[in-house]
Amino acid sequence: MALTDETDVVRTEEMLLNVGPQHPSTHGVFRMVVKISGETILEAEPVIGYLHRGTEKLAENLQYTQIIPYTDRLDYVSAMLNNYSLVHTVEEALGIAIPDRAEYIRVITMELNRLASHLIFFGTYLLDLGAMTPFLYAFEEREKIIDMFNELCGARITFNYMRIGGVKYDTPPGWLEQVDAFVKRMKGEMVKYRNLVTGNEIFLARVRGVGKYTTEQALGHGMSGINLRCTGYNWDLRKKKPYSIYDRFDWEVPLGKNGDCWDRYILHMEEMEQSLRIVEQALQQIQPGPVLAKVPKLIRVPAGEYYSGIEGTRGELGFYIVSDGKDKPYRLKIRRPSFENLQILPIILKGVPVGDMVAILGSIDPVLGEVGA
Amino acid sequence: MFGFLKGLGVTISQLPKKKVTLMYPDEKPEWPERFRGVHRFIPELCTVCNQCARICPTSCISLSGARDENRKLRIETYDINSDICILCSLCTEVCPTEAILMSDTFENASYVRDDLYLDMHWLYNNELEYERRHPDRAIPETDVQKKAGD
Amino acid sequence: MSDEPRKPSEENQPSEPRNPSPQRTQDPGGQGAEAIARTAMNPSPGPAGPAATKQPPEKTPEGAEKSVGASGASDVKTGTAGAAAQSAKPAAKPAAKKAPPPPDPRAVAAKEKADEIKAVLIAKLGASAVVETGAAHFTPMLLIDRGKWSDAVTALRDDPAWDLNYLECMAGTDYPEYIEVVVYLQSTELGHFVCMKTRTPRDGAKVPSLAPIYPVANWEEREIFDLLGVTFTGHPDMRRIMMWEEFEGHPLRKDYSVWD
Repeated sequence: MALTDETDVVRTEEMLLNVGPQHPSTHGVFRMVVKISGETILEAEPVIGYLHRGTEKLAENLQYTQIIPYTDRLDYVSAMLNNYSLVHTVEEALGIAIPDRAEYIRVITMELNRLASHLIFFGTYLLDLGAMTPFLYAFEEREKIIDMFNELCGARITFNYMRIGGVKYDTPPGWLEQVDAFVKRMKGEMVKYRNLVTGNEIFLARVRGVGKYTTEQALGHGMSGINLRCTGYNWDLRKKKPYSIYDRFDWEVPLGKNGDCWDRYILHMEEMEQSLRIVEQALQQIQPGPVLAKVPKLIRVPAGEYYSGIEGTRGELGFYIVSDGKDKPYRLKIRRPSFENLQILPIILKGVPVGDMVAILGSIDPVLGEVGA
Repeated sequence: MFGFLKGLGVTISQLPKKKVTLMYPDEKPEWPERFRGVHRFIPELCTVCNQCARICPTSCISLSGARDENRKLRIETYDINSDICILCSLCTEVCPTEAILMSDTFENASYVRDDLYLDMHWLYNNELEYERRHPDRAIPETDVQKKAGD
Repeated sequence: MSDEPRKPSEENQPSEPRNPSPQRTQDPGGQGAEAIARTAMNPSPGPAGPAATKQPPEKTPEGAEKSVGASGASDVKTGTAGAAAQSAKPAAKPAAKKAPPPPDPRAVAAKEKADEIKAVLIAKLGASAVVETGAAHFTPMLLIDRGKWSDAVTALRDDPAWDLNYLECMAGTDYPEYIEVVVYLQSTELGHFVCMKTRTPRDGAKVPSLAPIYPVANWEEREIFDLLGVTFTGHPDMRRIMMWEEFEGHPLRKDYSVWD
């Protein structure tokens, strides 16, 4: 039987595909309702709120020190940075001077946590794309970092380590030498990752030129962090609105060119190297001293509104506190980077083949604990 | 083309390296001193100041005490609802006598929720177990007990 | 080790924040508990501000005297808004209750900047656009009239001298008489950081939407709608985002009760 004209025989329809909340590649409980025609996505609509735990409402009944464990659970892969963001906002409101050693320990732990978070990106992004080995390498290194944090503060993920005025404990004896040994080892591992993944042709073909957006789109959508710097725009809060002691170290901000998935991947790798640089310099500069400033036992923030943002692993993580002079905030709003970053998905997923959807979502690197706070 | 070979080189170089997997549950991990597992409690040191119950972010500690013959407060009941405890250890930070501490018991799963409501006896038992497991880490009780007793 | 019950001493604690001088004392082996348990000493009054005065802490007798005066001062304090003056005042209040210290220069600079922006907006949109200016802890703050909300924000985005092209944070707060929508805008090229707010009554809360101007406001406004009940007119997709569609009530409101 000869088929004269294929359009007479083949009937196409749009299909509504539910990339459901339970999915191995959506980085958490994240749902996308995707309308596809054949292999091309026509519309994609993210649905969030599955991990909404009411942190902002709970915080209205908790003192500032009691909120710190809750912030651990926002972006659960980089808990030190969440802790620091809250503590930093309160310290700016109170105007406390932090002891030097506490600042150095904070920078060391924050940059190590940034490294751990980027290792998770490295592992899980490649796992999404189908490569199972880098995941194990990345997690081996991450285990070392987490074990060091375990010795420091007693937990592997939910550290609860920063306090208003400094950090909770001083480093145990021998910890800084451990970090030093780790940094030296990690530099060799970065070469290994470069050899394993960065030159791989299949990987390059899957991520080059995929998921592009322009700087205007990124700025309009409030993107920050790597998602903004991949377009080539230089906006890193550690350099532009400096906080803590980042100005004492010599490091650079890596920038991308095209705004595609490849640039985001490479920026993650390069930021890991810059973090190692910062940790190395901090280890050389750290001196003994106190680790907690003298703060009142019951911390009361003067009435007013305060906002301060830091450079988290995924972008700008900020806390907006409205206080009426009591020891509990009147309103605590958390500016979550993944929440803003995900808004660009409907735009860059238009007209893209379904196979690229996971690559694009993975490169935006959302953490759902942040998205639904 | 050569990208594949470099990657393969990395894989082959991993072959002779030592394995890093911990064969749990046959091998248990060694936890550092500051590890935050389920609490352990020393009733003799507690002065019923109520700080731990006040600082707990999830309000999972409830306690009661009474005055004994020397007009000093002694603890009568001390309960931790480890169902909602988030193991943040803020209670250990504020305790002035270090009566409440964290142990390294991390296997807390249970089939029945009632088992998760820990009372003073369970917590004191946990303390005894901890001291048995780590004889080098136990706090020198005698001096502290003397100070708290007088 | 002190072992008396803490409660009475806590109430006597001076409630104002202080600028403690980070002492080079021995920190006992990392026990954070002792560090927190140490009561803070009040630095002597002076031009206190976030530029911390490195003065040695006072001894306890003066601390006790200050704590008596402090409880009176705290009542006056909690009523006022405007954080900048607060952080400068408290250290001086207990010792010299008469003269408040000069406000922090950063707060003054922020207020001046806010007045500049007010002039720009009044020139473009008329005198009723800006209701009030101030400084939200060293950030220029403007309270915009609700009807002119999106016009004001557009005007500042398009103005080449201000170029506020980046929306950093958007939040809603529930006050007893009104709901306030706050937005923090940043100019990534020129470095301006401005706080703009608008107020709306709690019943039938409606605010013009910023989503056509800044696409990021899309989900932020949906979140404020979901959790506080403020409808944004002109928003392309006004539905609940965190809670499910059939949910009733607005959880972040102060009068929301979980037990329905």
